[in-house]
Amino acid sequence: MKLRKTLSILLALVMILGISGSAMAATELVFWDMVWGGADAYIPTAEKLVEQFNEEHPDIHVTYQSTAWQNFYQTFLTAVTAGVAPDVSTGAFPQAVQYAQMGEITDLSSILEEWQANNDPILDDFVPGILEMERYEGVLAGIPWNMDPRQIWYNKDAFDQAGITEMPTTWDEFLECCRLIKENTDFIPFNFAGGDHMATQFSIALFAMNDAGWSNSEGTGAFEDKQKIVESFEFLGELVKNGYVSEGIAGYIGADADLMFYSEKVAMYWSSPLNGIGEYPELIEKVFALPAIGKTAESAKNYVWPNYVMSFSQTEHPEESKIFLKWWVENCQPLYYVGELNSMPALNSTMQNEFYADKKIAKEIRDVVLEKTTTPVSPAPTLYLAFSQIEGETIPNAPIQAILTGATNYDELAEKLLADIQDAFDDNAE
Amino acid sequence: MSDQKRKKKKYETSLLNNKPLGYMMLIPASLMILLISCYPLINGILLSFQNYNLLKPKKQGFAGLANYIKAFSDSEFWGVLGFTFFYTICVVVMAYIVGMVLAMLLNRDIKGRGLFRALALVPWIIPPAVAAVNWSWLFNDQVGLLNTLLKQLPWVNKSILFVAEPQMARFTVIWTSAWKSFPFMMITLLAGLQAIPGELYEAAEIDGASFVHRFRYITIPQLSSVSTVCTTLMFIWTFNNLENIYLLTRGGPNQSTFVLSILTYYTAFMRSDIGYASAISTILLVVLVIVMMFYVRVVDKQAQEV
Repeated sequence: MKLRKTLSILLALVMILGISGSAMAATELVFWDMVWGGADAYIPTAEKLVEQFNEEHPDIHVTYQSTAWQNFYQTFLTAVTAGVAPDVSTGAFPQAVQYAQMGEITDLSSILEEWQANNDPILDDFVPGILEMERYEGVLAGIPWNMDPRQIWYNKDAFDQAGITEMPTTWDEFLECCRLIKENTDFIPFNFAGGDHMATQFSIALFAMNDAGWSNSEGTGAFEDKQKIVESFEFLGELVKNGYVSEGIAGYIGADADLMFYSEKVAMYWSSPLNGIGEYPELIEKVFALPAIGKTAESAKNYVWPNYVMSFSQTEHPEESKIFLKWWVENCQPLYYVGELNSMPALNSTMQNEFYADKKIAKEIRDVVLEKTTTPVSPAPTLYLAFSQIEGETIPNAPIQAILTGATNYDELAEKLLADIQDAFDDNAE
Repeated sequence: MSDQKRKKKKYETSLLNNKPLGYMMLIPASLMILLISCYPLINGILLSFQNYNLLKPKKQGFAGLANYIKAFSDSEFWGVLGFTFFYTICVVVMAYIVGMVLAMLLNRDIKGRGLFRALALVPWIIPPAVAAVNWSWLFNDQVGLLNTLLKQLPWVNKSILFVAEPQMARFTVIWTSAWKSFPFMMITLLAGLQAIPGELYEAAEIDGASFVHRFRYITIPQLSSVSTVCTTLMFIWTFNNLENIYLLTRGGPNQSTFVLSILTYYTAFMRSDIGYASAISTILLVVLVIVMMFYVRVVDKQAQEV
């Protein structure tokens, strides 16, 4: 009898504690973050940031999950369609609008309205034009936090050995530069990862250098001036024909191409912001960003991916997700200062921080690369739906890889590419 | 037999005769098989009759045979199907030949036989992702070991583009897949060789039969059943294998190393067209079912002969 009484009291206590415990439990959120920088520095910094948020917000608990870029498109798409999307995530440039089209995105307009209502200086701090780029049918699908540029890096040793003193600004000058490197040094003049999705990204850079793009200037159909695409292919063909690119370029994935640049086999390398260069400290002093090149000096430009944080409508906690998302955008500076992220922040104040004074690569991006840039959707003003499809299907990989493996039927390749791009537009217009 | 033993045996017999209990014992395993095998299979086939694009969930609906008609009228599909057969047959033949040679060598009484047998299994043990990265470095035209060694030869004056030149890339993926597959062939054929009575070879030798004759008239016929089983299984595994090629070339350059499984993956996850991807994988399934039927028929025939 006594035992039964004791057990009853214990049970009651457990129930009371359980109820009070659940009443006090924090709202659980899951945050997927891509590996934006070198894994050794970036991930621990991002985890610490999340810990800081959790400490500052005892009623919300965010779990950080680092997500690999390998097959990220499939990872996200599968999670969203299977109903197991995270509450909040970072992601590639077109993703937020893609999921907005599927009705899977939380509208973030209220965050913008809150900043506007408070006259928050952050509104003027964003790099111009990127805040509204991810708006789809009135829904603000993402808030920018990062800018990931694509540019040509060069090894100064190669330029010195080749006797190059003036930086090229046009395609003709660039070809001449390649000739000097090929004839006077053991370096391969130019390289990029032609065997993976970077071939598609290279097409954006190549067309932008000639004031062309995938879409027309309204973002409603394929680019209309085929001749500009043909000229861009001819330039790439010249690089291949003259042996200015690595012979095996069509088979290189990012890791192959990175290694070749880091092992000083390659003089100029078109790539992302060299997040792995930290492992080659002796190389950092030799590497510089090439000023933008173009068919003409006037059309010279690089391009930059604005990257966004988004929240999925599958979340059971949309308000808490927005609180975390807003906090992340406002407080993510340590990712650059501590996390060794070479890509640039979306906020001008972070970009101008004195921290960058002795950050060689990031400083090169800020001072040289961003001087002349456009967006991946150029000449369209904002992101269009077909963009995700063109990029996801890596449609431009076919002509780029064909040229890298020796094809010279540029006119035919341009015509086919534009037809395929138009198909993507038609597909999305249905 | 004591009473106790008799009772125990009777109890065991009654248990065995308890059919409902037997069926009940099968239920958990059967449910698991249904869940993890049959459901995806049936769902996949049903999806192949649907217009189902992940990016356009509102447009989902019954499409009849449209996905199959699209596949059979698509030149990309036929090209990929042709290469898939070519790739599979080459891999199976190469793996069989290499496996047979090694099995015959390792069947001899040589010093360190156990070590050599273990070493020959290494390609099979290495995870595909690790193997692909290693091959990728070996094949690199600028920093790869293979090209560095080949360029030492007087008649090789430029790098061989193992994965960057479309035709060469096809050969490369065949070679790397055969390398990954030959240990299975070797170990299976070795088991078959050890089952051949030594007297047959001794009698043939006394009769003056050469090595070729012994191989032609004893080894090959005696290994026929083992050969059928391992080549059929290898055909099935190779035909629907994705990782060996995808990890090395991602189907490139310019889709030259696309096989049906990569086309399915690409269609499903790059083009987001699940309906069409399901139709392609159903066609792949039909091809494999035909191969399986052939396999079952051969095995039945051999069982009858025994």
